[in-house]
Amino acid sequence: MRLNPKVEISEDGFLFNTENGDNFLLNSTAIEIINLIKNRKEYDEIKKHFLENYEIKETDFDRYFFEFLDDLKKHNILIY
Amino acid sequence: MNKIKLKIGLSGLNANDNPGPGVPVARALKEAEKIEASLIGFAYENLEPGIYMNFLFNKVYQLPYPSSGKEIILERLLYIHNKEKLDVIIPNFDSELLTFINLSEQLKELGIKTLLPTHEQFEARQKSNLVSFCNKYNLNTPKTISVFNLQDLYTNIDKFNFPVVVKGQFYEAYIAGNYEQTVMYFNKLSNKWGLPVLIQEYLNGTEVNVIALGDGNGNVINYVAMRKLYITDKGKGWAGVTIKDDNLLNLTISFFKNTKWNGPLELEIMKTDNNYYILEINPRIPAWVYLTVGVKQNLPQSLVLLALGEKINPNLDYEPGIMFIRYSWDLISNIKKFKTISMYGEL
Repeated sequence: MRLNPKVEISEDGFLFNTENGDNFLLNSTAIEIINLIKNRKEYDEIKKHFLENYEIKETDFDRYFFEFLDDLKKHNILIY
Repeated sequence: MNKIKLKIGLSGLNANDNPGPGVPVARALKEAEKIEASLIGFAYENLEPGIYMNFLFNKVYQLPYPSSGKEIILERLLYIHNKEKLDVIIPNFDSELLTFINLSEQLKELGIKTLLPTHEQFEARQKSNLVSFCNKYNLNTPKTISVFNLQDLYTNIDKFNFPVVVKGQFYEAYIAGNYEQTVMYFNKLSNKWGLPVLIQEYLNGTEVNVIALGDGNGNVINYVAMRKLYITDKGKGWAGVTIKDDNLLNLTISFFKNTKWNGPLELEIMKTDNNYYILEINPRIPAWVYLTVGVKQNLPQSLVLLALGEKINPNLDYEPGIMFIRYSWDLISNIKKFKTISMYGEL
């Protein structure tokens, strides 16, 4: 997984796409996922991180995580 | 650095809910690093806010409407020039541009420089000619027809799916969801701006705007792309942010290389997935030009220097994420000034 290099993300979660002006506010969970992706973690490692550190069912994690990835891809924030 | 002292005349001093470019151009020139500008405003209506901005304009003169004809306007410009000794004129309204293009040689003989597209360039990119213009230069544009009467509209509306965009030949555009709305907007726009009225295919996407300055030799001297963040009910951008889209830049470079456009222009573009559609080509500076000062390009300064024959290196780089936010501001003035401009046509 790779983030679009044209996207700037501040430490406190303001995301700005310099190519098209799209901007979003990320919540703390989204910031955490983005930081893991930035550190080149893939799905298995991200999932392991959340299951170990939060009380969340595996099925719930998968559902929310892939919904989030779909949003990132739709807005050209995540590129493969 | 020694600044060049210049007297510059400019129009577009309206700054209401549909603001003209004159006031932001004036602000940009006052902040120019290479020019010490003494600004002379040209107004058409006596309540144009720029008239009362004596912190920007040394003097303001009322001009006759463009419909008065070239000779009447030249006569007024001669009067102004005799008093002010103008170096450069920057016309900022679509409706007056053709007059100034036609007068440019006579103005040049008087020592007044302009930087304007040629007559051919101006006509070629008119809204009613946009489809053939874009086809010639391999640019995408939405399907558009010119409508001269209601019979035309009735005959051709089936070529479109609703909604459609109904556009005046100079200004304003409305989205019509059905035939009745289309007729209503046709009547409104034809009464206000004349004929033809344009019917344009509606595209779903992100609207982006480009301001650029060409030197007439195929080169782009300044370029800034912007996305509107807030749009008023009149369709005006009230806030925007700079963006850097390589495809947009390449489209702009190619446009100027092919057309050899002389002077400023604004491209209104709709980006859908990966296609870029030209919605309009405005042959003058747009009202958001002050953003170019915000990104250290100061397009009005470059325009004046080019008009004077100076050679300028292209400056196409800028920082994305720089915003403009427009605001409303009450000026305090005196009825005596209103009286003076109304009765004597100058202030």
